[in-house]
Amino acid sequence: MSGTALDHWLVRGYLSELDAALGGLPAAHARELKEQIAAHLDDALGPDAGDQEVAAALSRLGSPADLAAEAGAASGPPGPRPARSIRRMRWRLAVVIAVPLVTAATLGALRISSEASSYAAAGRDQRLARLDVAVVTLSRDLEDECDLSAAYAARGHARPVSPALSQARTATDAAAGTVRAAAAGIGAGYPPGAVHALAGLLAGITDLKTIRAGISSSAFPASQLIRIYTVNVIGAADTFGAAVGGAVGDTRLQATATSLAALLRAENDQSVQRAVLDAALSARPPVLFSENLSVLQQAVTDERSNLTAFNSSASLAEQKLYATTVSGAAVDIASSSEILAEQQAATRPSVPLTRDGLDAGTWDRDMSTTIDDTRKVTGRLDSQLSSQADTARSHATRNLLFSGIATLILLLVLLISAVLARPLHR
Amino acid sequence: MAGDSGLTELRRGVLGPCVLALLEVRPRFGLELVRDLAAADGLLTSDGTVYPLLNRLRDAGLVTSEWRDDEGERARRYYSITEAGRQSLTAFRADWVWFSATVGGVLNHTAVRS
Repeated sequence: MSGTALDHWLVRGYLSELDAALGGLPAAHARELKEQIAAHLDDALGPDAGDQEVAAALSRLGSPADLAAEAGAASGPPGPRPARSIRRMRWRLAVVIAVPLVTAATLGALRISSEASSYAAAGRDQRLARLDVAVVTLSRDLEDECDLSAAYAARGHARPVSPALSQARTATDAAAGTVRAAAAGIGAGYPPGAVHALAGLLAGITDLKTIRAGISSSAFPASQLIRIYTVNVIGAADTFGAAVGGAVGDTRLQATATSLAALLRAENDQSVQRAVLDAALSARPPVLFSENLSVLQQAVTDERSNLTAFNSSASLAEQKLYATTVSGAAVDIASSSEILAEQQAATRPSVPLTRDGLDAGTWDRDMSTTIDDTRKVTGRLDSQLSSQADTARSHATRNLLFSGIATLILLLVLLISAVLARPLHR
Repeated sequence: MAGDSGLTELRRGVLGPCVLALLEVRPRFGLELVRDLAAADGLLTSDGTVYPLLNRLRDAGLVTSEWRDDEGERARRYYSITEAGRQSLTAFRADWVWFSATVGGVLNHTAVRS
């Protein structure tokens, strides 16, 4: 169509130049400005305007580049660069700051929560280990009390009880008190097996009073007394020890607690052997009756299988420690005396045990040496258990602190970078 | 801008209020506005600058535009002042009196205010 100034070749050139110059502007703004300029020229120039008139109008309008600069940047000189890419950069900047911030916060929170649960688990392990150590001590005191009670019963329940027995009872009560104190707070959140075994042990401790009353009233023969101690109280302590092996989370702790529990059972079996033969040798006449012989033989069998269990879970160093510690003349003499007594009772039951060197005092001393040697090893395992639990706990504490501090620092760094990036963002 | 003693910057600063002042009288279309401004000597460096300025004033809510069909003539975009535009203009008028007096005072080495 002809008839408007917009068809003039100079105007067309100007408008297409303007079109190119406005390329950096948002499309809507560019379109609007072109339309305004076109309308201006249309109004300003008649359809028949000559070249000179058109050139003058265009020159008054200003160069397309100046117009574009004026439209692009509110402040002055031909602006640095288009608004669109700046907006895109701002957006990217926000993403670059927000994404690591959110990621760090999330990962940090996950890490902290996992470290916190390890920390809590290590705390539970530590309390179980401490309780286990107290139970080992209690178990020893119970063995001694049981053996002394059996000897007391074998001598016919003479009143009053020997100073050694009342001393042993005092020791047991003290150890029981320690166990009760260490047991406080172990319940919810702990493995149910351990909690259940602990309840059994605490009930056994309560039973002690009844058992002791029974002994004084001469209700129990020695062999039955040993069984009652073993089943009701010492057995409960052993069960707890074994449960700790399965309840702790740390694998090294598991191994130590399991070995300790096996060796403690073997120690109990040794103590039963000491008690049975001690009672037989203390009786007048010194006879190992068949029911007591079977208790003795059972204890020997049990000790052997418990030592096998110990060897299968203990480290080589622990096995070697046992082999070198529980050895020597007294240990060998106790062992051979026991075998001879067993043989005689088996072949000639009801005949008094009257061999050279086989009397209550000697047997008690030699077998006690064996038991004390075993206790040295359980004692070592005890302290090993404690220190492993303490180490695991302090590791867990350090890890928790580390991940907390690391997350905090990371968040701080990101926040600071966000603050530093703020001027760019504006 | 180095060569023209800052006149371009000065024009840029006052052109907006001048446009508002013209529109306060009555709505105008683009060329009309350019001509009225050009009539005030020295206010415009180039006619084109008025349009980006109008668009900025419109984006700021000081000016609106609408298409209008005058009798027989073709449709034109008319610009008119808004309420916000009036307030801005009133504020500028007050500022200008003070500002020009201050600048005049300083330029003549006679402090008007301390």
